[in-house]
Amino acid sequence: MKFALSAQGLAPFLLVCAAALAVFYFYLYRREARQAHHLTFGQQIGLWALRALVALMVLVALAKPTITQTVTTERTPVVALLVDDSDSMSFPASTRDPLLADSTAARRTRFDSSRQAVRMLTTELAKNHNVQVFHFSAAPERVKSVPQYEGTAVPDELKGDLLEAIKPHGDYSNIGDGIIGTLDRLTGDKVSGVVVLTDGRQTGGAGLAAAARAAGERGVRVDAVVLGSPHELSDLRINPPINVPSDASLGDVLTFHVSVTNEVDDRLATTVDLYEKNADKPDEPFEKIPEATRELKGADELTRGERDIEIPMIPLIEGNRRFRIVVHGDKRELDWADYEALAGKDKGNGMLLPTLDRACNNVAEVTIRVIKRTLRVLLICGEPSREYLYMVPALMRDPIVQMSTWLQAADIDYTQQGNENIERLPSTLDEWSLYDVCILMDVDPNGLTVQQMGGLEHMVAKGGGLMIVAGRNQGLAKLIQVHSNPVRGLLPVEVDKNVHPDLDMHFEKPFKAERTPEGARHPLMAISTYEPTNDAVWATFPELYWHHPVLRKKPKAIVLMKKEGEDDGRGDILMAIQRYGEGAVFFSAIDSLWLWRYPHESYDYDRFWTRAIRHLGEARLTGTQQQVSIGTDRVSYPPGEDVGITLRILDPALWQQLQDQVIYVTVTGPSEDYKVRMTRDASGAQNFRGKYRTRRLGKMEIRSRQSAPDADSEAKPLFDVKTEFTVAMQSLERLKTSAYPNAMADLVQPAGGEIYFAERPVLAKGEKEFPYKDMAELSKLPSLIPADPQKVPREFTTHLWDGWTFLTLFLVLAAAEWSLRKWWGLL
Amino acid sequence: MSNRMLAMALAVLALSVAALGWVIVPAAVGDDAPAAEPDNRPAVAPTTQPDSEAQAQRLLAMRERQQGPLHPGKDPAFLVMPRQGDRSDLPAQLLNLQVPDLNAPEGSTRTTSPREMADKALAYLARTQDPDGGWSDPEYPGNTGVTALACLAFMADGSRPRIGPYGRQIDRGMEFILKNVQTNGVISGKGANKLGPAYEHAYSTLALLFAYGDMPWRPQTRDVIAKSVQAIARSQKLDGGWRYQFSREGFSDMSVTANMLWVLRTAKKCGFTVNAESIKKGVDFVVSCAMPDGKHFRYRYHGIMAASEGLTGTGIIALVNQGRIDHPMIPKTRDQIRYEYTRYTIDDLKERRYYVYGCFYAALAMYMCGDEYWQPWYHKAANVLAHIQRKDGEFADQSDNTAYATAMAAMVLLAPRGYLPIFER
Repeated sequence: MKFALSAQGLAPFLLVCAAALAVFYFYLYRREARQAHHLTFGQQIGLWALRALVALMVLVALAKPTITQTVTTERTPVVALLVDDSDSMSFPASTRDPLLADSTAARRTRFDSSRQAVRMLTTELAKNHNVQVFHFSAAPERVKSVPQYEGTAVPDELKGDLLEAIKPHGDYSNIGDGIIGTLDRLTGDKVSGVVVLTDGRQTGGAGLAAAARAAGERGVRVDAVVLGSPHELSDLRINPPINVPSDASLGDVLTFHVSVTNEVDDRLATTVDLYEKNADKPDEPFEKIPEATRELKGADELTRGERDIEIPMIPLIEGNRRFRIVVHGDKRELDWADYEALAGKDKGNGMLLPTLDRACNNVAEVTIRVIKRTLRVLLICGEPSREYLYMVPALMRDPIVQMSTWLQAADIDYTQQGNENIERLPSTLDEWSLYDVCILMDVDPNGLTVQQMGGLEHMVAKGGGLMIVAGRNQGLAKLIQVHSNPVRGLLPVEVDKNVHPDLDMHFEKPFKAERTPEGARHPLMAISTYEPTNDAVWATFPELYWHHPVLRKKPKAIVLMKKEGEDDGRGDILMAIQRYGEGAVFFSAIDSLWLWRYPHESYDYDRFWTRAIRHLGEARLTGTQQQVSIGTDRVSYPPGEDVGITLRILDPALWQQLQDQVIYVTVTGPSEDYKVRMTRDASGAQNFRGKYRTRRLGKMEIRSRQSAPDADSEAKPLFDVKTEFTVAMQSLERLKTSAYPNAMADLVQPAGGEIYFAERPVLAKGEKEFPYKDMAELSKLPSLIPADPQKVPREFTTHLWDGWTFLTLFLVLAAAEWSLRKWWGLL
Repeated sequence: MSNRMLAMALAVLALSVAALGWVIVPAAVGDDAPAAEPDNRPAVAPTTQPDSEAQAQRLLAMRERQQGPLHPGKDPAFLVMPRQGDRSDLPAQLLNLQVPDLNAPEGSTRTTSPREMADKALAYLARTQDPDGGWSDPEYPGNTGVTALACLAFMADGSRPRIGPYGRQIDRGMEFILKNVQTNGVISGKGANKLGPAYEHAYSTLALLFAYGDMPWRPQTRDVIAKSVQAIARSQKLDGGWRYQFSREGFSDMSVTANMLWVLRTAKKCGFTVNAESIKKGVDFVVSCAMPDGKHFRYRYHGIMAASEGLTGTGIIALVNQGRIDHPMIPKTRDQIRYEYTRYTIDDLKERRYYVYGCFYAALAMYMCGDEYWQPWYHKAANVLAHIQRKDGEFADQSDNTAYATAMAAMVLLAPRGYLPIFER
């Protein structure tokens, strides 16, 4: 209880009033003194006492005295349970989720886990708290308010499903909005804690840091129960598109590049099968191609995530062929039933979730036109050197090579070797244009006319390939002296025209050859697609004794191989390549590659030459398409998102040729054309990169078409490649289907809470792991949330002067004083 | 070649391949010993990593094996054999095969390898080259055939005229051969073989064919070879074959005929015109020499009728040289060689007359038949040769001729190198 004067600031005024009353009463006493002599002393004292009391009451009334009394009451604290009911909560829960240990396969969604968690937490929390259950996708909505209960008997209302009326169907997971909204709804209550039950995938709304700040300002502890698996939905799928050329050569190897994603297990053994049928007869059944079956087992098992798989096969039937690629399903897959149905088997025991799109994605089909096409190669050789004897069968083994040889030293009536025997060299431009690649192997320049060299140069400029293999018989100096004009331009290297092979010299000192860094990356030198194997293969390259002297490389040429160590004065370039017009020229200063027939017989030797020939003839064979590819980082985008465009230049020589060029790609949609300027990849890779922000819905085409720097307007472009992507509205809920507990760290860490998760989380590279609590410890969470009651103090103030008692007393005293004076005749 | 060699021409191959039976010893001495690194070039370790290029090669090889060898162009002799399906380590394994070194001190368990044996053999040849550039044997002095075989042995190691560790020896050897070209085109040293110059002419022409593309300082070589080929064509006998003398008279034998066919096919590959009818007749003669059982070839159709397993290798080479790789006799004769070689022990084999000579032809045949046959054969042959090689590296026949035997043994041992086109697949 507390006494106080409300009019403390009026003290001077009260003193003035008191002085005025004293003066007044002194005046009154003097005036009455003349008439009050008949009064007794007692009467006078009584009268003055009355007057003093009245004056005192006046002063008290002016001072406004009060009495304040404080009373404190206690209230039960509140805990809010926020249940995420977005669409992604309908995805499967973790297989290790202890909350669902007794659940049937049909009730193992993340939301089912939420139901169990809510029931368990509410049962425990309601012993000491009022529990408010909210669900949210964006703004929170109260589902249930459970008051504190006493005793050990659980109320009936907690035995049922508190979330019975809720279905996970929201389009968003705005966790920050849910928390902030809930705290606003509970203003006035003491909120001891907020427990969020979610999969951790926030798709929008207020940030989690902002929600953590809001909770921190109110001293609210926030805990997160993250439901689901750290991996994407259990699925094994083929990711479109299948990377394969639209046209294939009959009898040649056709390789399907298939991107397969394994989200079933950390390691998964499976099989990829290839089927084919006539594309023009839809009713015809597919037939399996046994030799193309790819067993992915043992060390070749699929690890979790995406992997590119190459499936080579040899098309043997001409025409439009429909190919079906099947990656064998796994019973743990969501689309297992569809896969089984497709395979004509009984349904498996896989979980069926009606809300998911379960179309089988283990199968992909593509139509390819199989045509008979050849790479016409003309080998012109001066003398039958050992390189010639080994190279001829090596090239003729290639199923697409149609080879003609012209051995200059042969008898005049000699039947030249090759798949196609020729009786003379081509002479006109038209005859030369029939060939795709020409090999000049230590040729006698006098055996070639000026017109023939002109035809050869024209063939290369129009996309053909030329291979110049230097030898000791003739040498390049003689070739340059006789055919200076075309040869100087074609050669990727500078050669001294006055230095002829020293025939008297003996070459007994071996030297080693090594690939240059550019050569190591060059596709022509890729004997194996697996880099360590490729390096090991090149480590078996033999020591050599002779090479043709070379001065230097041309500015835009690429040196592929050189002598190991320092230049001995004879030039150290052994192999080089350069673009020439639309074609390419390869130069070899060595004529004893046949020494590579050991230690693996002709395996690597043959592959090197066939690879070189195909590389040079690729422009003719496929229109340069295989040297350039264009792609996007995904195949489908929502509006407003950036599309990452990558233009890969597979041919380093072409990359070199484009070094001063400005590259654009054109994005064409239903109602717009947009040019994107491409920039060189900062990492040094042979890529141009660009970005395009999606604006309109629909199918978009990206095209890049580039002409040679000095080409006329009618010239065939160096490359013309295109690809497609789609812009469509997409549910953000399905972009990432894995649970992401680490995202909750920003929320719970400032608010002093914990994250509960059933598995070990998968972290991104460089991401720091937050210390998680195992889901099995969730039952301990209620004991960690403060249960202190809410203390509410209340003050009661009594105004002593302000009441009927005081007024009555005042009036009685004033009236008594006046009446006595009247009675005693003082008035 | 000498009389003894002639007599042997029957027995040569007869005793060589045929009688030179062999026993496959699965765990030959020293097999478990670690292999030395060949030329510091380790074989590429097999990888379990996916390699679509390798898989593509396997597919193509499988398809080509199904199709069989191709005969592109107009000439059946131009064969394109199926490609290798896999990157085989077998050549390195064979070249580094550990076999007992009998030249090691007594009591020592030292081993050697075909690589080391070949190096010692080549070094011996290099040391024993005559001042005139040729090589001589006691029975074959100044013989162009022996010289040609020595040059071919150096070529089998990767050397070329004036290029490589034995470039000088080849260069001088070629000069010797060119000096011994007779006006009629026959290449033969004077008095080098009393029976006739056919063998040495064939070997000399073969060596020139493999060398002339790398001999720009001797432009006349081409004409020499052209005349040499013409001489062969001129001397084809009426029965379709050849024999020691360059004459159309008389009867042929299968051994010389097979060598001539071998030369003619190589000449065709090197740009020389060869009458197809001439080769056809030669092959027909070889086929006519086949025994009724289809497993053996007789030495001669007329006259000496001795059938010999040793001629089977020669027969296979002759048939393949004409592109008859699918000839029904080849599997039978090949299996017969394998069977005969499994019958005899190393000690039996090394005591055979003219073992190295027969071994050379058997090597050519078994190499063509694929690894399934080549590997066990080479395994055994290397062991036998290890027992024959002397301390200085030479090999010798029963007449102590060392140059030709050493050259042939070196070519057999270096066959896994794949540097000599006579070993063909």
